[in-house]
Amino acid sequence: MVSEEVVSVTGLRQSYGGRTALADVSFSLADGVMGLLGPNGAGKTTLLRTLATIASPARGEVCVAGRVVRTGRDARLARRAIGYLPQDFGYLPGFSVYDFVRYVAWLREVPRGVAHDSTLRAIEGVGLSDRMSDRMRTLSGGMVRRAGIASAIVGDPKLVLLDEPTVGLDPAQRLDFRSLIRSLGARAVVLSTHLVEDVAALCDTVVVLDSGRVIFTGSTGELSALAAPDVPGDTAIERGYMTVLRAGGGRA
Amino acid sequence: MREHLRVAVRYGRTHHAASYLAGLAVLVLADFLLGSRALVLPLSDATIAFRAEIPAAYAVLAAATLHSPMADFEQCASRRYQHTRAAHIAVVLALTAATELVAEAAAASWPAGIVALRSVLVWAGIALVSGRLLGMTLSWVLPLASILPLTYFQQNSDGTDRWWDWVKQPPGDLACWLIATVSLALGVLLSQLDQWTPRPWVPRRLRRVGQTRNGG
Amino acid sequence: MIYVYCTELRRSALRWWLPVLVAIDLAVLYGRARWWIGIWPQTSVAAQIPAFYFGPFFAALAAWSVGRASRHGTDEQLDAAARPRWQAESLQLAGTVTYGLAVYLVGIVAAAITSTGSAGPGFLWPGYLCLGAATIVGCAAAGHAVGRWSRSRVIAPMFSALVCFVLLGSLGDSLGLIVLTGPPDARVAAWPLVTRLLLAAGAAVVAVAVPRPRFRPRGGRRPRYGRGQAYASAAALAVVVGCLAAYATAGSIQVSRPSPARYPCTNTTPASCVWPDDQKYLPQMSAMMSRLNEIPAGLFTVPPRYYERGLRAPRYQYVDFTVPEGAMWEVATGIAIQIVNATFPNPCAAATDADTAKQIHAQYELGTWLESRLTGAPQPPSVHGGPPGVDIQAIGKLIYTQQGSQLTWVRQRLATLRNTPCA
Repeated sequence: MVSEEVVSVTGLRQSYGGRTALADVSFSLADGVMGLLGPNGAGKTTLLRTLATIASPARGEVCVAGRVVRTGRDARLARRAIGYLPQDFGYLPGFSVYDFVRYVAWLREVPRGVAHDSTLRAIEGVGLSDRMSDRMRTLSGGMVRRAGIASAIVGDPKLVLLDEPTVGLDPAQRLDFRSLIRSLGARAVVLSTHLVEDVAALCDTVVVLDSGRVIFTGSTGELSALAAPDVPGDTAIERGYMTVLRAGGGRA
Repeated sequence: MREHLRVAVRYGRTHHAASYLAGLAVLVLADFLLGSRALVLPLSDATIAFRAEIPAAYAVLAAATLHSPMADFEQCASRRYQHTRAAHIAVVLALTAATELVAEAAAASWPAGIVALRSVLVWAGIALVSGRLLGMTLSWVLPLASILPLTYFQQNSDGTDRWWDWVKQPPGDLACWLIATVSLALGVLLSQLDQWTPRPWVPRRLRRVGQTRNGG
Repeated sequence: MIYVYCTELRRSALRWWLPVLVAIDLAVLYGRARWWIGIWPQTSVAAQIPAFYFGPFFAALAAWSVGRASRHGTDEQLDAAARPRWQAESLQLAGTVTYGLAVYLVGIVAAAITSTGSAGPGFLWPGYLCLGAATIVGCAAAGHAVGRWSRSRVIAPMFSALVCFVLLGSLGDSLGLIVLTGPPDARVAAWPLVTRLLLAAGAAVVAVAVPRPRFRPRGGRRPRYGRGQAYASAAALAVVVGCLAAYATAGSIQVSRPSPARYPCTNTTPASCVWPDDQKYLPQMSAMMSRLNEIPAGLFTVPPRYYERGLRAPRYQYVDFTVPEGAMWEVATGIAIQIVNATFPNPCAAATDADTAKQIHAQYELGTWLESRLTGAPQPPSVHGGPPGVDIQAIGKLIYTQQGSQLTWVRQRLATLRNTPCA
């Protein structure tokens, strides 16, 4: 069975002032987890914000869930299919976990009839059912992250965009996070991270960005296979990543 | 010397110095343009000029400079910062009060300027107390709330102004200067308190809890 | 939507302040004056007065509340939402306004309960109450807008509050944004009230629909996705301009009320008649008329009936008495002037300035003496000033002296008036 493309990007260009943030980026993604790797300032967050339809492309085209996003109306319709967790996401400290996730469900226009069940499912999915009524301000950093992930998956969006979701998680929580992402099932997930081992464990495909350009697209195995013997790294995929960066002229 | 100046500029930037100065300019302008506008108050025989309430805004503006986006870092700063903060409060209060004094003296008269200066001092204390109790970004709450008694309950039954009405009593009224002194002293004292300040009036049991939290 | 609205209410920090705000409302209602109790239009205005303070206060609270997106960093999630931002903003403003109106409503209910026992026919006048509600909504909307468009977390609330306070304090009465007294001969005009409600609604629309202007768009170019928002902003501004135009041309909020077919009068001779709404004053009026009867006949020409303003044709509006803030002294002043004028209906112009001065002084003294006799007490300290040149304290003492000495004093003034040489 050939799965339908959930998101595709063609000739995408973004710039801030005179600085190019993304240059001629193209890729597409059906169901599965795509890792977005790259050094700081490579354009990962800009790409995620563009996929989330927050930033409109300077040039090129973004298509989400079969809809080419050209106008504000297109963007709002597309957002029903997008779950986005920013790197520094905010929350109202007085809200309970349920209120927080339910509020995001409302923002995503999850139909009222299913919003409650969907909220409960998302909270259960991140293992916070027992803390559902607790205020957000009482949660630990890891729990807040999990609540954030619940907010990204509530309403079963077709495309989930996670920007550095494992920042601040301890090793055990990161393992839990991996299980959680695996349990998301049939949907497209774009995972932006610095942590190559997370990508190795979770992702079907990898896109490596450097200075706003895509310098590698392929599977994790293909990335590992590129590893040169003389580059630093503890694992094959780390060395593969460093090799790609070096070949692309990026920073190590 | 140049390094000290740089430090002062950096400190000023984290404490909204530019916004503060711009705010002062706006308030001086408001003093001149709207100061003499009479406020017709419910159930009051007398009107109150808007200039009587403007010092509240001056005071809140001064207190607002204590807010800093780097407050978390400042909390664990060393002794030099505490001295700087004390100097900050003194300088900002003096500058604010002096500006209001001169603005009012120019817009109305010197006695009006002295009353306005006294009002700034009273409200500055209230704003500091408000900031301490509710957080620096809510330093406006108590000054704003204090406008109610000053505009609604400020008259005795015979139509004279109550003794505590610091915006209406003459410049030499001792009771109002006492209010200003107490308010400012309380505000400055509370703004200087931290977790380590001895609080003999707090029961020992609660003090221990506070220290554990602090340490933890 | 309802769930999120309820969440806004449940999780709002304002819920902790509700008891304090209710206490302030009741303090404003009862703390200063209670003469409004028992008179429905005045009760309605008294219940509306807290809006004078709640308007600026809720402007500040709305400005503070709207800053939570930047305080707690939820801007990014709101930008990425499928739901238009104005909906989230609306619910937040609705939450703040709900608290404002809830507090206001408590005051209204308290005022109604207080007046029910002693008031005449009728009930609270919704016009005045709606005007107060419009003030709270409009001010909260203004605060929401300022808080949304400003970056400052401290200055925006204070600025919103002071602007609203100045607007209501210096222009509120003349612009008809607030009413400070509700005399029975006035009513709230329907269309001007509608325009104020529309203006408040228009302000709310602008507050939630118009985003903070970005003079330098992100990335050096205008975001394509924001065009719809620009249209919405332009439409919202057009709405509010239309509301402003309607408001500006609508006329005064208070207009004359048609005089009633039947109205209560005292069972005395002379009699005093008041609006049905003011019937609680009848016992005091009767006492006043009885005191008037204690003055020996023949001294003055006493009209047989006195009317509260608005009961008779408009030409009597400067003749008939009013009862401002329940002050019987003002009633006595109105009646005293009528008595003096009836006693000397067509005084001639005095021959010299000195004679004119003596004539006027005698009139003033007689008027003040009549006022004191009618109320049975000297001029109260709450009444400031008085006729120029009149020794009010001396007349206050005079009314407690023997009737004979008072009449001698009165006859001297009457003689002065009768014997004034004409020009």
